[in-house]
Amino acid sequence: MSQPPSAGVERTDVQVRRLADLAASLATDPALRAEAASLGERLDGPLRVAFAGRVKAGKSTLLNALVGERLAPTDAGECTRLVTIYRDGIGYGVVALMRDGTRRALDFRRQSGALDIDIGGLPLPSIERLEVTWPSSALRAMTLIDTPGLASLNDENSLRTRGFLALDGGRPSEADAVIYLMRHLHRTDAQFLESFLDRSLGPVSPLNAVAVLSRADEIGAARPDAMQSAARIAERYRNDEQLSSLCATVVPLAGLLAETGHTLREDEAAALRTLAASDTEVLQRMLTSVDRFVQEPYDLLAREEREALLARLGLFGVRLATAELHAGRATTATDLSRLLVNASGVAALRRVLAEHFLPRARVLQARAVLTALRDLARRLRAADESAAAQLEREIERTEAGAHEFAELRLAHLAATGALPVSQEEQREIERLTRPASPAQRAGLTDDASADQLAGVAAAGVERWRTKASDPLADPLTAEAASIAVRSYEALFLAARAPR
Amino acid sequence: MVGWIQRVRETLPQSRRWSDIAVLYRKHRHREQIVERLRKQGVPYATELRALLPLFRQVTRRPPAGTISLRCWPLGAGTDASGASSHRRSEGGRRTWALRVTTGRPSKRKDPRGRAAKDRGNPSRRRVRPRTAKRSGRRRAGRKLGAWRDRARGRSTTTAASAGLPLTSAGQAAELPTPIATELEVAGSPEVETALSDVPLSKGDAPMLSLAVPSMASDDPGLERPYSPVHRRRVRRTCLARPRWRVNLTAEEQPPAARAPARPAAAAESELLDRAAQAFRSLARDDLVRRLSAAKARLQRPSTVVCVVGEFKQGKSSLINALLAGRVCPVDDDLATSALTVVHFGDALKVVVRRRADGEQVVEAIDPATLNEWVTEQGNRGNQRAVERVDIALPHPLLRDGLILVDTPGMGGIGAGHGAATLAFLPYADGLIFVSDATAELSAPEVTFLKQSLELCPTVVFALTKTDLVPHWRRIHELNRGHLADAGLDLPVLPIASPLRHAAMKQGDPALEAESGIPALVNLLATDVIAPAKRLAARRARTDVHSAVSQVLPSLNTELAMLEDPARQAQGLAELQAARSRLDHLRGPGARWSQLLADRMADLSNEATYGLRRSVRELQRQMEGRLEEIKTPADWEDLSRELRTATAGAVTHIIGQLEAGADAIQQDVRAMLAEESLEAGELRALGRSIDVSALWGDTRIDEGVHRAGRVAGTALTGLRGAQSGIFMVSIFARFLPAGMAGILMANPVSLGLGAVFAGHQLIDANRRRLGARRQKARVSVSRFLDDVQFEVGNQLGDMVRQLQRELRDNLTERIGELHRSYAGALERAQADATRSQQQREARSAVLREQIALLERVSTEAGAGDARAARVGGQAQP
Repeated sequence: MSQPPSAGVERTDVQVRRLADLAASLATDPALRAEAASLGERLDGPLRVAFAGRVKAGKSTLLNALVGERLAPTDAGECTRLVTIYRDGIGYGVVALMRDGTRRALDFRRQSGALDIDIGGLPLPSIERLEVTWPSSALRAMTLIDTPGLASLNDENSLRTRGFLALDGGRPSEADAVIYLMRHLHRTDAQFLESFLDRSLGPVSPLNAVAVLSRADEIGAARPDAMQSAARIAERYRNDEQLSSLCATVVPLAGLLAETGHTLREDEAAALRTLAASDTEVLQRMLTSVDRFVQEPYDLLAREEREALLARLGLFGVRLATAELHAGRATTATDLSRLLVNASGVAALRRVLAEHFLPRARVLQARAVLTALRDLARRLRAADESAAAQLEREIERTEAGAHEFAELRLAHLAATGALPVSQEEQREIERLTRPASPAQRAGLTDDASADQLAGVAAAGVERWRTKASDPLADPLTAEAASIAVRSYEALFLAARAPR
Repeated sequence: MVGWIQRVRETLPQSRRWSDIAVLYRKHRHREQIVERLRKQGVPYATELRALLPLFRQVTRRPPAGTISLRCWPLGAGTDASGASSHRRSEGGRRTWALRVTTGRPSKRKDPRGRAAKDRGNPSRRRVRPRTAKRSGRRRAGRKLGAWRDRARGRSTTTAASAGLPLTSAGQAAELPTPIATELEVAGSPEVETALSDVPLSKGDAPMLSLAVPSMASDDPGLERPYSPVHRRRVRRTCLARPRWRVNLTAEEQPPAARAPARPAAAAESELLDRAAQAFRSLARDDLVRRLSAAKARLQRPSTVVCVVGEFKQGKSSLINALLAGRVCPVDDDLATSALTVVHFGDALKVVVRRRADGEQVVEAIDPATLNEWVTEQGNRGNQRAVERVDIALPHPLLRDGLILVDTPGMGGIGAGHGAATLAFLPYADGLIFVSDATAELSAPEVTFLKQSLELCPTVVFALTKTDLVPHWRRIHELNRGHLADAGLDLPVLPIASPLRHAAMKQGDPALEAESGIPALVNLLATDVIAPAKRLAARRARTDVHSAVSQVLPSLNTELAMLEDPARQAQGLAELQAARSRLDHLRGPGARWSQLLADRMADLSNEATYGLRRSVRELQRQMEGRLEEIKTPADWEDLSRELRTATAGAVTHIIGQLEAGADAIQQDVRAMLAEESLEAGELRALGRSIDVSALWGDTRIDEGVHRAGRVAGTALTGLRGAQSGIFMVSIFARFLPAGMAGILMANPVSLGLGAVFAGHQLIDANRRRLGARRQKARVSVSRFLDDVQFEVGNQLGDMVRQLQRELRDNLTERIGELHRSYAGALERAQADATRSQQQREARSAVLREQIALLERVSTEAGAGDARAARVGGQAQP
């Protein structure tokens, strides 16, 4: 995580934290007060990452894979119906957050790993969301939010009414970052972009969104090279202009493999071993199709066992696992787990998360909380005009003063291609706004001397200042240039600061 | 008997070798005989056993009324090659088996036994059977059957029925109609699992099943010989378990290069055409012979267009490849098909690409191996090469009957542009295969599309693909069925696993092929799409014969009359001369009909062009108003969808008008011709006048035949309908560039994160941008409409010209034929005048014989019509 080089300036998240405290002290309504307090706490917690995508894209499966446990229930039909937040905690618990603001603890049990939550006769619409507290190292780094899929017609309508220009400046967003899951879709398909336009989770940007080409094993018809094939397609998407303005990158992923890889049991491995040890020809025949695998009478495994294997691994997974076992590249459940996880592509996703989200986590969180506070101030206005005005003033001041936000905005503008600058300049902006060491941001290596850094920064200031004062530049470019100037100034200060 | 079949049924899936199966015959007394006969005929009997056994299985399994499924597969499957290469190999001199299934009600020819049975009249005496049937097993089966039939009908008609005889409700043997449903030909190399037919059944028809195998020694592909009497009986009896239809299964070996042999359903017509052609050859009328041979070619390959549609990545191209058992259409994990692909029959593999280059259409043949570079997203990204359409000619048995498969580019959100274009195309298509895969249930736009297409196309099949990959596909299948039922849609849903077909080919595994679902699909196509087209083609062939005969008959009659009555010779000569000069005039440029034709066609062309311009202008005006209101991408989506649908509708309407107009002109021109010819009424003196109406015999024969009639029906506007449909799809594929949908979404996120910090300034900027985008949308709409107007206008012009040329040529040709008849008659009459009495008598004998022959042919054609009408009436009560 990058430290702002200007030692004298307070960190943005600390400022926002104080704002939250201020809001809590100003609010007289207990609900608002609680909300402000929880916003403050949110800053202390980990990054909140939401999964979005159409129905049956594999959101819950991917969540399970990232947690490494079968937590969220998955099914062949539509399954997730409520927004569910999975967070790290000391004990195990499920709480329903009702629309009226109350919280109710719910009963739950685990059924073959997955959580079976009993909403205790509460009507579905009355529940705002579920919160699952689960001690898990994966959840310690990121709080994960599972969402119901974007369904077909109704959501389209709601999307329409929300519209483009009606886009609200201050709706609080639940998530700091978003993982979009998409099936293989046509570039020109309206639904393709539509899945990105669901802004109920917050505004999308390459800074906080990653796309996942899900169910990648199905794309290649479960052939042995299916994942390579999916990687090729993901590569094409990545180079797509529209898409690259929406998300940082596109990662191909076989969620089922990842989930099962993380949770493979020894008995399952044994069943796979039995399969792999059987006659090659028989195995070949079994693996021709799902029906053959399940229906034909073989004395190898009971039919139920085979069905279970198929449900856990899919045809691709079974083919892969038996091939690897047969070739002797794996023997134990641990080997197999590693193999499946490697094949699934989940590692690449983790890497992307670590590179793109986590370094900026603090700023992203601060931004999300600030947005939420704005919304809170608006609601506060009804009860207490002067308090709301005070809060809004403070928010304004913080926002205007925080150069990190400005940088975030600059990075967003550059990444989305909204700035009319040359490619070279765009790359420079990307580099400059990257959460990294000052030398790296200036385009130097870490062993560069302070003088070198200062020289580069001074030249940058000069260059961008000229651009900012160009009378013919459009307002957006001028604004971007002046942000860049400030960033270079900060770099210069960092170079000159005593080590 | 039943037990035996039961065993076959149970044993077959596992037993792969014929010897296993042959053991099952051990109760059969005549087993040796069968085998011996087969050997004598040189037929590898194992093949036949294999072909027969499933037949038993299927036949006996089918429900009393519904669908009968017959399947056969030859032996000797190789394991080495892909479908495509085995196909090539089969051409390289290997034996090719064609199995045909025909159905129809049983023949009167079988009557003697039926009558005998009826005469006996006593069901208890059923043991008195034809001599060949003595075995006790047979008697047992007969008893069972008798009981079954008694129960079913409450009458004792069992004997006749169990002997495979047809019984009408009065207990009378029925007359043999033309086999109705279908002949389905399945041919392939020995590796290819061939198959089957689903035959629609209706109640009250007794079945027979027979198997005929031609001698292998015979080089004549058309020759069919009874397979074996013993065997025939056996099959028939089996079938009696569910007496409904007569089923003919024939297997014949085709020489590798054999082209479209005669097939039973059209066999009568084909033979009729041959006989008529022979008669004309003896009259030295090459022109008519040529006409009939063209008719024969058409009869053998009536064009039937089947369109494969669905959203992208559902496996449309894979489905076509599986149907053709080879890699024909490019398939890729990434987007593959970017152009419309039309697969049709041809003598050799040939690929023709139509594309745009500098605004001009370029048609060029390409190396089939390079097809991927033209139509896939990888080889031709974003369709930079502007390929509009690819035509693939393929010497494939499935296509031999005239089946044309159209592979469409995937539609994005099916309601949008491509969907509209496809819908516009549907009225011209004979069948539609709707493809949706089992990874997800049907979406709302898909259901809407299906609903619309069912109204437009006679046959819609739902193919649920990728069932080999999705463990829970049955559940999706059920869900889909529910969706279809909710929408009130009644269409067959076939689970398809395309890769299994290829695997089945390689392994020679019939069970696997059945699992792939492709045979069922082929069946459905055969019965619901190809069979109606064939019936229509048969009908047209009969009309052709009629028409050709009536070209010649009057002149022959006149000549005969003159020979027999020398007193009238002078008058006759004058009349013939008058007729000839009249026809001379009609043929010439001064004839009124050609004037009329030219004038009316010019009018029609103007009308169509004007109509197009008007609808485009109207659309433009409508759109302009709407464009001012769009705000969101969704609005734009709606708008462009509407625009495309409206355009497709308008274009379809105009093409329809054009065809209707051409029909009207045809009628008028004919009426005028009739008038003009009537003025040459002098021929009446001989009791016969020129039969003008018969002149244009091949006019509209599709009255009363709906839908499929549009394709094969009218003589002149035959395939053009389908072609304009194909043209339309390609127009829409081309005019809807990728940017179209994305115009307003160009950069939706510039508002996203930025807006949070920028406040109103950026929103203002975006308001300005919205204005700019509206402008962009406006330009895009008007360019689209311009393109449509230009392209469609050109196409309409071409169509009119072609219509006119065809009409003119057709009529000129008919007049020429008639002219030749009379000129010939005149010459001969003049020669006759100088002949001796003896010569004259000999000549009149020859004439009489020729006339008799022609009249017979004509009568037979009429009988065929009557038969078809009866069968047609029953098939569609």
